[in-house]
Amino acid sequence: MEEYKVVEQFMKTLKTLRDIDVDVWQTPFDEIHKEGIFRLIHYQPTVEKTLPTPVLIVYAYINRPYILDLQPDRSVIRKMIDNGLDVYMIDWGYPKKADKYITLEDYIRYIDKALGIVAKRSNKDKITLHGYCLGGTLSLIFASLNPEKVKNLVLQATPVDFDAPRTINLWAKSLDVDKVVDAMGNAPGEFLNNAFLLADPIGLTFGKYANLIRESKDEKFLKTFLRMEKWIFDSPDVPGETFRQYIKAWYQKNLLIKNQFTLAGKKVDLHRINMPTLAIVADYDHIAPPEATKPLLDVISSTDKIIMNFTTGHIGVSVGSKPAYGLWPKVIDWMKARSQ
Amino acid sequence: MSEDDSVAGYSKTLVDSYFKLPKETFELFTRSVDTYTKLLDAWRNSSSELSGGKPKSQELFKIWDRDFIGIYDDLFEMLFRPMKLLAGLQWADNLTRMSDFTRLSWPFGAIGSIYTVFKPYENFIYLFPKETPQLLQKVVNSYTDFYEAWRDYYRGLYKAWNKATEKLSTQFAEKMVNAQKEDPQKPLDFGAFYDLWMETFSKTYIELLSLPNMVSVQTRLSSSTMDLIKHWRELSEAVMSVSPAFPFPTKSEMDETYKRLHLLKNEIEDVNQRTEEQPTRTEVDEVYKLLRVLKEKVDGINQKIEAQPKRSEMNEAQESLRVLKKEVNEINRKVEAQRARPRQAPKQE
Repeated sequence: MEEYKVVEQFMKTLKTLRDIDVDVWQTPFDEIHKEGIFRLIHYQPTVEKTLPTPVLIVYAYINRPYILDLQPDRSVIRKMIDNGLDVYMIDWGYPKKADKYITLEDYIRYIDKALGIVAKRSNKDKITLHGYCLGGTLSLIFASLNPEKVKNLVLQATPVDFDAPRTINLWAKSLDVDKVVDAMGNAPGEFLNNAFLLADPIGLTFGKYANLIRESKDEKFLKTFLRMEKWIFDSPDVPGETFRQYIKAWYQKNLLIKNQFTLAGKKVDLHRINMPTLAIVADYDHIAPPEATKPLLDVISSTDKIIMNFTTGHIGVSVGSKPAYGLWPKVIDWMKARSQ
Repeated sequence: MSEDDSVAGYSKTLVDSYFKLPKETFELFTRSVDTYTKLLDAWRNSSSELSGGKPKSQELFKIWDRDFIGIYDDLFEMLFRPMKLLAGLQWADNLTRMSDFTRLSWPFGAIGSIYTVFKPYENFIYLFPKETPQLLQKVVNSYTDFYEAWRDYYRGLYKAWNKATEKLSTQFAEKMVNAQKEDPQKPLDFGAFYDLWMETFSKTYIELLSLPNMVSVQTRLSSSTMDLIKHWRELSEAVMSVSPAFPFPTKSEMDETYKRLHLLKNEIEDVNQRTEEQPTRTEVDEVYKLLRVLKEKVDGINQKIEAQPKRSEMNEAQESLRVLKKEVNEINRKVEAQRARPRQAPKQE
């Protein structure tokens, strides 16, 4: 390919990208509760009668939850509600400087509050808790502290054993987290994003974009690409005290899987997890690799527990075309069978 | 040529895209086209060596080592911009001179009057608070640590770049010879070169960044960067504190307000929680009403302090927080009194 052709292809692609209006949050919802930056949303059902047990989705606080509802044909949320599940989701929002003192206790307290609201609206004592990434870790902690409130637990790409040998884990282990919080207040989203890009600097800062120049891509592909880009770089800051707490306790001391983590003076005993539990793991996940999740199943006391793995990455689980047809129908069937 | 293909059309597309796309996407995509054309250039520049079908890896290395330099700078620019900005800050040059003062290494009594000696440092001596030299020393020390860590990190990355170029030269030369053996009419093209380049460089850096010594340099770099930011802020705050004309609160003062605000929010939430455990009564409704008003007031303060308040506004916010705290305590007292009362059957409404 000659240089002028490269530039021509670049300009053509750039023009298409410029003309695309990126929409995320595909499925209509209502905001039913708000407390500071946290909010609870309820997805509008698409079936006349939803299943009796509602689902509360808890996403990680380091990215935005609309990854589960990124595009119409592959929206996990859409699939759930079309299958009769009554879906709620917690949005942790964008922490500002004034939110520096939010701690893990505050996140767990809000899960409790949200769960109470959902339970009251659906007239149920127990609901299904679906946590994704570090939201899964929060869900796990909540379920072990309040097993009587959780009917089913779904953990998607959830790190529990932080000793798994991955670059991100190595960096987190050696990070002087006190210095970061003392200097920056909150851990800036850009700072965390740079760390994720550095895990594969050539592939993620060049290869991915060079592919758009090497081959002509259609508008549908570029729209998906742009949605992903929007999500990747839409990274909220992490409240400083939360950052200090979880990096030290989870990544550096690995207290959770050792059953030594305490929250607000209460011991988080994973053995108390006794409800049906489904762990979704992605074979190529570099953030929460299978070996970071799998040990959990040996620690919890649930008798109904299963791992579903899929050959994809951390994000691919939610947005890939193959998981949309090969994984999610099974996950939803698992939830439905336990939602009566 | 359509309007879009003209120079003006290209400029418009670039400007529009800059405003519309995520800024990181725009930067990485525009940088990638530059990198890609540099790779094309490097490929073209090695064509005479490659044309014989039996290239020497050392010759390829010479050409590519020279041509890949620009790519190296481009690739890491976005990730390391904050470091480069810090390392190249204009004030950094002045730090050395300033540090002479803090180390008391100026030529005291050497020439002229005492004032002549003090002259370059008069701001430090006569205007700034006495802790300035110590704070300045911390800035200087952390800058030195940062600069050394940044130099080591950059060196590590650059060394890996060389290693990858060497590896690429050897592997590509071998590949070319093998391809010639299989089909002399079908020499390797740019696509094969690009794929091998991506594979080699990507793998080299993934491996490098998880090596213990590189992780250790990275930790030093992040720690010293954080120290530098913190000490610079402390110095600025000390200097600012002497100026009554400076209207803004310092970060430490803001931090204190955030902390109080957070504690107050939690206390309100705590009262709320305990109130919810009571049966419905007029008194409880009253408490809810009070809590709602309090929450609104707290949200108001929250909004004010997020919008870079002046010092007077921040002091006002702190005063409001003190008042609100008293109100919360009062409500808390009421709720506790209600809880302590013997339970009656709920009234029929």
